[in-house]
Amino acid sequence: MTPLLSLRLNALGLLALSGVLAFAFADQIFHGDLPCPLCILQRAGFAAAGFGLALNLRFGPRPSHYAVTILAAVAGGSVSLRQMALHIVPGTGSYGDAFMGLHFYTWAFVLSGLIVIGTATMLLFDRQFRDAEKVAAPLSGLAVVVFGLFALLTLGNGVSTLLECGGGLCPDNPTDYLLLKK
Amino acid sequence: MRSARVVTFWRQCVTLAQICRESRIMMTIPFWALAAGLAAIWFGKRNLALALWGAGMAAILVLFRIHATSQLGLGL
Repeated sequence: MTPLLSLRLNALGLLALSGVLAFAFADQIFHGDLPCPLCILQRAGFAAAGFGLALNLRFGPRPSHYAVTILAAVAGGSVSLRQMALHIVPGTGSYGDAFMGLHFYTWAFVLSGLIVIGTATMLLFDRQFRDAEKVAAPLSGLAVVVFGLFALLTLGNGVSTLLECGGGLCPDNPTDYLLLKK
Repeated sequence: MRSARVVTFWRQCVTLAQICRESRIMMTIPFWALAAGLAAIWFGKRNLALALWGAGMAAILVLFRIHATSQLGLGL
């Protein structure tokens, strides 16, 4: 795999992660599903996982950047696994709406697993690291668009969380935006 | 010796989590740290970006420690 092809795949991966964050955002805005504290941490996990791909886009593919993605996906996956375990007990219900039969925290766990598998697969191709410095350059073209979208979604989640939780911890079962309450 | 260090590190993490809980740590910190890190990537500051990512990850883990049992109404 050439460094250039690796960059394209990284851009595609970052676009996919932006899609995940955008989907969660759309559900929050259009369906009024406020994210719970653990849901917010899962979103942060996706943002942290995309960080490694963004590093690859700017500085060229490096194993350490893939490690960033894997570590973040494991952290985010652990949060979603914990939330699944919390609701596995009969009578504890669930949080939020289901999508295609699975709740968002279950999807988050599946996607975190896929991120780890995909990133580990990318690490199998050594050739991408040989001339990685040559492709390290200021972002341009499609990479700027993808990077900008991802940065915007990360920042947007920060603003949304601030509106929902104010300057502290989120309530366990949020029903309203704390900062927008009259 | 090594297990004693692990225990000490774990106690320090628990203390940090308690301090954060008492001082009302902002749930938004991971996003601010990551957004600042993305800005660092844009400007070509790799080490700063990695440091900010580390700060974001630490915040995620501390907040996870605080919220791990939130649905059950328990405190660890």
